[in-house]
Amino acid sequence: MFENMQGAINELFTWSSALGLLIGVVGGMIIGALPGLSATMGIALLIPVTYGMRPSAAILMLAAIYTSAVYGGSISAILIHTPGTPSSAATCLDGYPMAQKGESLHAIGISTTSSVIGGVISAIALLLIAPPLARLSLNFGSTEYFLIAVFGLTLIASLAADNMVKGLLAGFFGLTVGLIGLAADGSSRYTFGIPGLLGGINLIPAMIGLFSISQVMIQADERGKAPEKKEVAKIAGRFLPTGREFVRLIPLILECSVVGVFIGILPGAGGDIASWVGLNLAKNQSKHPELFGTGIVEGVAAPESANNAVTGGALIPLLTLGIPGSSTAAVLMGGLTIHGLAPGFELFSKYADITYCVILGFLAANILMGLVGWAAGRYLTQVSKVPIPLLIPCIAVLSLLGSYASSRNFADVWIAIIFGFIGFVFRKYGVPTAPIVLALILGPMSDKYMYQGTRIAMKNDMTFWQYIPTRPISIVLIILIVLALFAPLLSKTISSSYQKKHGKIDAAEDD
Amino acid sequence: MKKLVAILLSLAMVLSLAACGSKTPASTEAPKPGESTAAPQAAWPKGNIDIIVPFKAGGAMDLSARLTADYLKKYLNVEVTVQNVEGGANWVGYNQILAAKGDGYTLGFANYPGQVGGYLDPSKKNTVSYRDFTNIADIVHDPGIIVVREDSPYKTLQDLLDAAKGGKKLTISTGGGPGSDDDVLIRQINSRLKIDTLIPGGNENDGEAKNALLNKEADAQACNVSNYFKTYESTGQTDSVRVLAIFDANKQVLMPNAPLIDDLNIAELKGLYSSSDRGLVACKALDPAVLQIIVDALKKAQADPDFQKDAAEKGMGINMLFGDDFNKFIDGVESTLIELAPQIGWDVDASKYGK
Repeated sequence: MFENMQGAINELFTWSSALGLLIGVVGGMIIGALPGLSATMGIALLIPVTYGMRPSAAILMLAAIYTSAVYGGSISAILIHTPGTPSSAATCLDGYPMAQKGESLHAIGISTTSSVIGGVISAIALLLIAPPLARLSLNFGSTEYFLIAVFGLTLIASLAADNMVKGLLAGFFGLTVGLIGLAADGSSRYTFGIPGLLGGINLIPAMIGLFSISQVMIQADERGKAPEKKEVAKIAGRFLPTGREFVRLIPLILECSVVGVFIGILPGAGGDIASWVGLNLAKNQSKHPELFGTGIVEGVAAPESANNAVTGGALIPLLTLGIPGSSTAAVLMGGLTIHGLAPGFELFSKYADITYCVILGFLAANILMGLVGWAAGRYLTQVSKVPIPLLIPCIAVLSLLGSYASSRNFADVWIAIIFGFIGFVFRKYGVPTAPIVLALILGPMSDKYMYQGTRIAMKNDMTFWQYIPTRPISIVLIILIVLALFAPLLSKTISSSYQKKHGKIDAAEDD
Repeated sequence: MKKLVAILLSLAMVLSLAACGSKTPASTEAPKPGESTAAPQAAWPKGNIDIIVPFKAGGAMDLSARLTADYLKKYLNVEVTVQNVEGGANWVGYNQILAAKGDGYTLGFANYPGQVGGYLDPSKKNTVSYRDFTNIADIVHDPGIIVVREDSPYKTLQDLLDAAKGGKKLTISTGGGPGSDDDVLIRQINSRLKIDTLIPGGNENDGEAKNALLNKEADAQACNVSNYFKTYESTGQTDSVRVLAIFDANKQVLMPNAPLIDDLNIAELKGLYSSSDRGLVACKALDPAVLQIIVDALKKAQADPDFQKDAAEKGMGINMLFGDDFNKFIDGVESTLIELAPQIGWDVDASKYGK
């Protein structure tokens, strides 16, 4: 690992990398602070722009946007009670009350500190875990990849803990849509003779539709119903936490960061989930859980450290196995392929200079994000004042543009619009959209590796299912899958017995 | 506040202008086949040229097209832009090439056997064939190879084939599913040796095929010279492999020491050649005068040492074929695929293609 550092550091200190880093951090913050524009959208829009850039600078810029947007989302959550990205929804609960109490700048300062620590820890985790995992991935065959995909699919159970039926509905919908197109054996499925469907449903326009266009529709819909005027909190209070406060918060921040990294590594589960988990963690440990929601710093520190810790974590399976750890990472994968970088061991051997440059740059981006937030955070708050009626058409235009730019295929614009409607209806009836994306990514993957595994098994005159238990890593993965399947059940029993003893814990509000 | 809104709106506008500015390659009116446009232009080209690449940016196809675009630009003195049009298993792009005007300002890139497989496979319901394109020039010729890991028990191709003939089933990872050049090569070896023990891996791309070789799931990998030309000479690396054979008639500049199939004296496999080729095409109605200008420019590029050097650095073997030679080559690819169609599982009506 360290023999590659010299080249990576040289690469990082080129003008193009430094510029990519700066643009990524500042641009990401603005994208994040604007409600409706998420990290996923920002990256999807910018991938075509990166084509002319050096690969290291391009990927670095996209990774910096990712972490910085997740942080930027907290600013609008605190000031206008509207999460800038889905990852900051949990931050609203205590951030906005803090701002109402006249501590808005302090809340942003706490968010900045927690986000930086969470991000830095995730970057260190990325630096330490990814290289050995990439080496290990050389021992992963088709059965292992198949089982990892299945493992990811079992997460639908935890993504949909509140309403299993709705979660499964979304999951099955994603799996069905994922079937469209050419199968691994070359036959076409559900294409109805339409040549445009042969390649399947493109992920980027589908995600833009599900997340951004549906968000625009929901905002437009809410406006018509309840013309409430959102009060923008005044900028006031001290920015940085006091020394005593910092000492009190740091164990919580560290714990939430570790949890965030872990959630990031899990395929498909992203910052939105991590922030709720972080908040619950803080509540469960607090001596005064009743104070949450009244504007206390723990309620900002926990979700903000967890959601930024997701970013580095989500890059781990992306760079080593080609499995995106979050929906944003799935879009980022498009950025890798456009520069001819295939995830896997080659990224850490042949392209080590680029990869380590991106990882070190990602670390730097998290620190730079804190400095920019500290120096310019109070001015950035202006972004959250952009009126929603202006924002809605802008985001609608950018969404359609982004879906066309990703492939230059006009059919993708229609896909974005159709998925926008689907996302709107699903979200309106409380069906979570995250399982759709998860299934859309992992369904075709499991399909492909099952086909390849069958070909490998053939030489031993075995079926695919007979072949799996012959591989030790596969057996470990099967045990993980079984655990993951029964974990929600187990945690339910534990928490219900806990609730009997200690009274009811408030369940997290669904995003 | 107002300033910020203005910045935001102008950003949105700039972005949309950027998108509109790039010429949309899709033309609304498809010219009738055989119809040639207008009188030959005096000085072509007068404007910029688009090359539609039906594949995503960054891949082998894209790189070949961009290299060609660079040198067309050099010799035609206009901007030549690569447009990646994805979707529909590459047929969104191919259909845009077919629907373009014959003025030569919209050209395209195609790969073989990929394009041929795309219309022979009846489930894809394509009614066109290579005959519906003006096939300008075959540019990149990337011969098929079979490689094994350095520690493989099979030291030569003969070793591998002996094991297969002895009834041992071997998985050969391939950079594509049924009908891809790697897959077809393995099927051809099977049918020439009258065995069925070599199993094509059906991997999605060369990267996955390589992973399957390195993680020991596959016994060998069928791929192309470009996949390994860089690591070929070096040893001791984790990804070092041994090239068992190049399935081509000619020595390869990029792999000068690897054995050619004909030199291995394996009677059944004499003359078995395989390659992935990438060439410049256009719609059927391409103006013959324009065609001549493009061919002349390509011939100049071919003689340009810089072009040769650039191509070699990217691992592209250049073997240009023009006009009828190119058509004959594609026809050969088509015949091979039709022959193997029952094996691949395609119900092909050979008479449709005069075969």
